[in-house]
Amino acid sequence: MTTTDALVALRGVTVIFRSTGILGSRGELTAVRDADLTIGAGETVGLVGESGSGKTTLGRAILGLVPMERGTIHVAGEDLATVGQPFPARIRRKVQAVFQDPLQALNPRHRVERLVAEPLRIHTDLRGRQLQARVVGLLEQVGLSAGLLRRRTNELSGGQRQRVAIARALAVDPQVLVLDEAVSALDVTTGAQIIKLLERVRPAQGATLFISHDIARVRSVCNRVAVMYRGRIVEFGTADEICGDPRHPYTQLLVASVPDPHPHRVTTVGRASFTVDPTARAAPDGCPFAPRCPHADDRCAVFPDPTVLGTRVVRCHHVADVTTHPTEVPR
Amino acid sequence: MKAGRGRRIVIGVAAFEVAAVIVAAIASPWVGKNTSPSTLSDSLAEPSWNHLLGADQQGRDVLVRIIQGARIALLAATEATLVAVLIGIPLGLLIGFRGGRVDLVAMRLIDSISSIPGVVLAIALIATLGTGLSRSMLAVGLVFSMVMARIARGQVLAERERQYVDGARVVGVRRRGLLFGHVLPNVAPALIVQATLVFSAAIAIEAGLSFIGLGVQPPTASWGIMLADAQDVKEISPFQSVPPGAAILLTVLAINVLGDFLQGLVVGNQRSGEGTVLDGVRVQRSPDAAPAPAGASLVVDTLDVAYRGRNGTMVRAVDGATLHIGRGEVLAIVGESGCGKSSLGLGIAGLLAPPATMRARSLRLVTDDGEHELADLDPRDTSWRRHVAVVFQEPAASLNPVHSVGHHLRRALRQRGVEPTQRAEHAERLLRQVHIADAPDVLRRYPHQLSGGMAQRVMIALALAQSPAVLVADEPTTALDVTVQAEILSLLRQLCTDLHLSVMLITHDLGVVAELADRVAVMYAGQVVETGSVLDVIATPLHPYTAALAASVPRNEAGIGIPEPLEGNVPEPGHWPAGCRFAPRCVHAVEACLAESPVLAGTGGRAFACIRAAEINLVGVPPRRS
Repeated sequence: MTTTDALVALRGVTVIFRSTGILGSRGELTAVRDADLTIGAGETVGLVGESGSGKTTLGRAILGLVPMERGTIHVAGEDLATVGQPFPARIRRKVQAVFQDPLQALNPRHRVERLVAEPLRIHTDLRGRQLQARVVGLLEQVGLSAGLLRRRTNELSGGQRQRVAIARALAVDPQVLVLDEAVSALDVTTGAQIIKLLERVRPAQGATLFISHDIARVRSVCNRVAVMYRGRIVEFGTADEICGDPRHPYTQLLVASVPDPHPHRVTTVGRASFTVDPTARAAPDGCPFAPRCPHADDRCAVFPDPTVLGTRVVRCHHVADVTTHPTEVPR
Repeated sequence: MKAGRGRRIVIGVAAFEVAAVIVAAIASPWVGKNTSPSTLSDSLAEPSWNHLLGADQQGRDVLVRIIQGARIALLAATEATLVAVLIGIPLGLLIGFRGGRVDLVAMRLIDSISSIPGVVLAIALIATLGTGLSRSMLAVGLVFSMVMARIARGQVLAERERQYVDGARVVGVRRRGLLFGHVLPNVAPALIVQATLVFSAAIAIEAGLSFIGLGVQPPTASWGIMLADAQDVKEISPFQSVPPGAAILLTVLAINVLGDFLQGLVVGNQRSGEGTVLDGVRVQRSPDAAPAPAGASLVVDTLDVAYRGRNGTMVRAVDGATLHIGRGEVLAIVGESGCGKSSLGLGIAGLLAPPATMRARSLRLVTDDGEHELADLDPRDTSWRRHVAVVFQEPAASLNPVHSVGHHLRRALRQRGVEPTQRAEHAERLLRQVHIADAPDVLRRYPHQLSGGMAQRVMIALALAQSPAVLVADEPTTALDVTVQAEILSLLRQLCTDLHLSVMLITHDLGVVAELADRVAVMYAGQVVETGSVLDVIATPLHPYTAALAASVPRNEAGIGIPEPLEGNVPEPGHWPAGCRFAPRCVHAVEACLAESPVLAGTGGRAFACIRAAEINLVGVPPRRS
């Protein structure tokens, strides 16, 4: 897929957080480094990685919530870097989000009615009765009754809250939806309900970025998946390629760590895991995974160029010698 | 908010006092008009029917003067508070919301102004502005505006980081809307409380300034001036200082009490009772307990846990749970949130906080040195916690941030009676047991210096310090990354084997269950609805709820697609339906399910509570195809 027909296209996106003192910058942290990513129309792309990998920051960059150091983000043909901050309304209504914890992400003092009406007030001319009718319509769409209009978020269940957040995101018919761990805090049953709902209500020809740490969930909902480690996208391919036949050593470790719900324990010996030397540090411009990687050598002091294998891109010097790894580590 | 009876009385008295001062202030222009003009013959009169609180040196009625002083006090405090609020809050909001360099520079300025004592600064300002009530109160208000600014700024800084602000930005809310529509309503309660404190302080300061002649000028009545006058005649009439002194003291005190009360309303009662000792938890035992199954290490027979509901009635969260855990065995408790899993775990660990109650026919441990009936123990008996240890979901939250890892471990070992000289070595051994390679270094670290996985290892080491027979692990890996989770699960498995530790694993993640558990108990709406070996229960469930849970779990397999969700929610404790509690959500339910409560029954370690189990064909989690 080329940049031009993708609905969302990231090229070389770099986000650096700086803590400022009176006399200038005191320390900095590169949260995302040179990230390339595309999402086509009607496509769901998963972004997986562990805490601190930068996956949430990358999502926030698309939402315009963090300033970019370098790189470009195109959303529906518009270059986000040139439209200025805060985003003009026409960009804002194109990109919406659902976050992990609706209790945090929705203003606790506002009632459901106001929460869902807020984007409509900003982006449409609907007022009064028409506005209320649209709000009720949106609530029905996400499976909530109009009886909840006067409730605050603390009076709702976890699933109901997330439905309110979804109604709010869908209110302005966005083209791009960023789902940042949108079901991670929910029970597995409620999570399944919300996923089913999102499948039904999300814009069919829109682009969805599904940020999650749950490989199994990502595989069930995504077309393609990108894997992040310490700010770098290390592998990007179809969901079946990444989750079923990972090639980057980090992806292999990640996939092998996913517990399967079928009890198939053969022995009680602990599963193999790559050893971590807490004192080891990655080279500043090297592969961030090298200190944990069993294949690491001198070449890893420089972050590798992308290797294209069919529909997938891997960034590892050893991709030729890393054997197709079983998704299950012998236990 | 819960307030004790004594506290309610204090608040009532304070409210009455403040109301009286306000009424006095409003009524003061009409008070004293009808009384006879002051005569020197009444000078320093003792309290009498003519002068209820006596008269001052110039023969003026003290009560009338107090009432007139109330007006001055309230006017002065209102002015100072208004100045403080109108200058301080916008200033604080602005610098808090802008942040960055603006905030840094402004805060250093505010800090340096605030470092000068308020009264001294007010006196200096009065020296330039001149004396008089409104000028001096303007000065006081300016001093307090710095305090208000600082608090408003702190509140906004904290609030700005809350995710709903990002949520509003994503929806398209602009800066002004964010500040006034979103942030301000959330910080307003704290600022209102602070304003009451400024108000009471201003009353005291007005009195102080008037006392030294910088505030209201005589002959206007002010409590401070009255106090100053009383000072002159303290040898002749010591009583003169009592009425103004009492007026100042009581008013300031009353406003502070009300401010405190307001704060309580705003913040909510966050005091959660000292420790979580079992005060008020009653363990009741009935004599007809069943004998322990062979090899069992923990036997739980018909255990109930109840909490006090909103209307004061006791609401059951766990309803007649019966289960056992063998030595070195892992029993997983699974179910959605609200099914009673954690309440069961807390009950068994002896950690229920009052006013929860627990009842069991029997709750006993079988160890090498015999049987211990925990139901016989005083709930506050520490030996309970020696037998049953706990590991929670958020390890960092369970460690005290001001103590090092070594301190935590040594204290645990002291409680167990380990000699002081051996504690350090023992602590190191415990860390090695949980596979921490650089134990001496980790012993010196503080909780914030630990990664999530390391902190959970430390928690497990702490649990092991008591050499418990049973470990309750409540979602021990839910907060951890999946690669770290794999390591912790492997560690727990090894500890079970090596130390013959019995583990009660509470989790909603069937992957974790399949990985670690030997047996499973499925809970729904407070009841155990199915038990058996992990393979039996997950692969071939006999209760529709277990099958529905299994169907909801996503799996890392090709072509599986989106799992079919189980619709509906767990009914809340207190609202459990009659008959089978799962029936309203069950696709297999028939009329009979609504009528009778199924009983957990079965043979050979397999039990289920469903009347239709024989007629329906349930599917569990199949083996992997690859």
